[in-house]
Amino acid sequence: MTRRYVVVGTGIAGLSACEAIRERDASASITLVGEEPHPFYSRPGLAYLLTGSVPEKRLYVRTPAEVAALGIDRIHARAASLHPAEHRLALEDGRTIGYDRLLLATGAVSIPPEFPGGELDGVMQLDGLDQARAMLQRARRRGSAVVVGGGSTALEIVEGLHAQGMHVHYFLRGDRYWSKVLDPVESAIVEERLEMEGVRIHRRTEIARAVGENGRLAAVETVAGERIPCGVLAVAVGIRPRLALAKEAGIEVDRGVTVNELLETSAADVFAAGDVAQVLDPATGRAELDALWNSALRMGRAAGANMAGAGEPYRKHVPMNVTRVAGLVTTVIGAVGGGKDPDLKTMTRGQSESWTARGPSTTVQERHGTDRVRVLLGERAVQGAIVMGSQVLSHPLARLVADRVDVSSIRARCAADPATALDRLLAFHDRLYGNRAAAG
Amino acid sequence: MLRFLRRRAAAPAHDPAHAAGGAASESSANEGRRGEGPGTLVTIVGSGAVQPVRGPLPTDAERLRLLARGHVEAVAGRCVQCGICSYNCPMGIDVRSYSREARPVLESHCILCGECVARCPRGVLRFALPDADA
Repeated sequence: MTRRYVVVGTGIAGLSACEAIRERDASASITLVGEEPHPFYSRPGLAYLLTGSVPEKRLYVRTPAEVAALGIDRIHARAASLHPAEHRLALEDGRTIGYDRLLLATGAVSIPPEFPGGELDGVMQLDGLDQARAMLQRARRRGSAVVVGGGSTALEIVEGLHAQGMHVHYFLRGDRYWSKVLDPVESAIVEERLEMEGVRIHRRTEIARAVGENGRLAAVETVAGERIPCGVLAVAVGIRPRLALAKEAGIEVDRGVTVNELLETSAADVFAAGDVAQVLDPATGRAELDALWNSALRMGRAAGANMAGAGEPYRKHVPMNVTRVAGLVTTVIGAVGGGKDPDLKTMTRGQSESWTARGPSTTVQERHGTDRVRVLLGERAVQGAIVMGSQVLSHPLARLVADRVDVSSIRARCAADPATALDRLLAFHDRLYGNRAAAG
Repeated sequence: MLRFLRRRAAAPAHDPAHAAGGAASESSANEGRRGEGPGTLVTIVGSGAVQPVRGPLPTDAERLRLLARGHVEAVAGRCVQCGICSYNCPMGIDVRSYSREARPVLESHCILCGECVARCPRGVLRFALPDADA
């Protein structure tokens, strides 16, 4: 009998799940439900669409032939309600779809602005291709833009609007950029580069309200009383998993949809993957959220396989991401941060909760111009690292973190002599893995 | 199996070669806007190590050796399929399709110009030689 699979969400988790199902079940009926009408595209690539580095068509991650070969029934509609007991998904347009297995890959969405005037035309957020298009269209009028928020998304918007020729004001509530993940030196490197490019950073500045004329954004007022005229106000203060569908269906949720190792939710035959799923991190022993594209891809694949009966547990990798901040390639590996970030209400896209779950550790660092490496040595293993600029060390460090290699034999000497600590670590890595940089 | 090229270690502060790394990183700020100043190129120095510099393409014996035997490869887990590599390939190679599966770009049309390596915003791509050559 043909098995009916329904996948809710057209991001990379949903797409990967469909592919994994098709690999294992050639005759399956696969229905993919989502509001976005676009071909599958690279969500992280929107940053580069904004800077003009890549045209929209190049963001499409599958060719029309590949999509056709996948043999899915794609429905452009919003899922209204899920009824796990009856194995039924109701759509907003009134249709109902029955399923044998269902995947929730609904992703996450930006937290809406809370200040007065947040509804004005010109107040924007970056969740998908439509918003990126709208931002580009606005930017054609040039003029000034204000960006509030933190993390990689805020910076993507800052850099994008700047590249499009807008005069960008970036508001930071505190003293520095992305204080939850970066240390003061790293923040300073980013801020200096932005300012050099011509971005105006306003520190200790909080937005009071957006002021409009006839429903259209005209200016921003700060708490201190400053008024900045602008045509765009972009808000990136964090994201939240889209939980409504699961919650209303009575499925167990925490910050995300709670899943077990097989990515099964508390409801029979309902799975979850991607930004919406909250998975146990073996490194911390806690269930945590990742908003990482590669994690979503792996989770989607695993969920699809398990929906088709593979029974393969999903093992969370050490969360890693590479982003370009202020033009610098920056790799974040494992646990590197902690503390508070006044610019973010939750985490940002391209971030993992595990990054900020740091235990006691010693920091070793090196800096040469804009190249900087910071490594956090735990009691036994390397907890995490940030590699900014030259990426030579990011592969060996990623491997030491991922394999939880016991570095206690060299830890004391690394801590005592920071000048040679990274050389020691690298020599240690080479002895262990052989003299090669390949990621395992 | 492949042996991968890389700089031997984090260059110490007094290493003059390292200044080139800084300059190269700065040029990456311009990658977002096409046609602005020289791009980041990668040259191969005598030790067989890869090191980013800003400047014209190298034409030394090492480069010839690379041209004959080398290729571009993708590191797993870093690619977000943004398509910048394919977009910038002067030979029209769909580099992304290789990167997607972390496969080496073994294409006879590849001229090892380094456009994809330099423009990838996530450090996914790099040059490599077959084991016997490294």
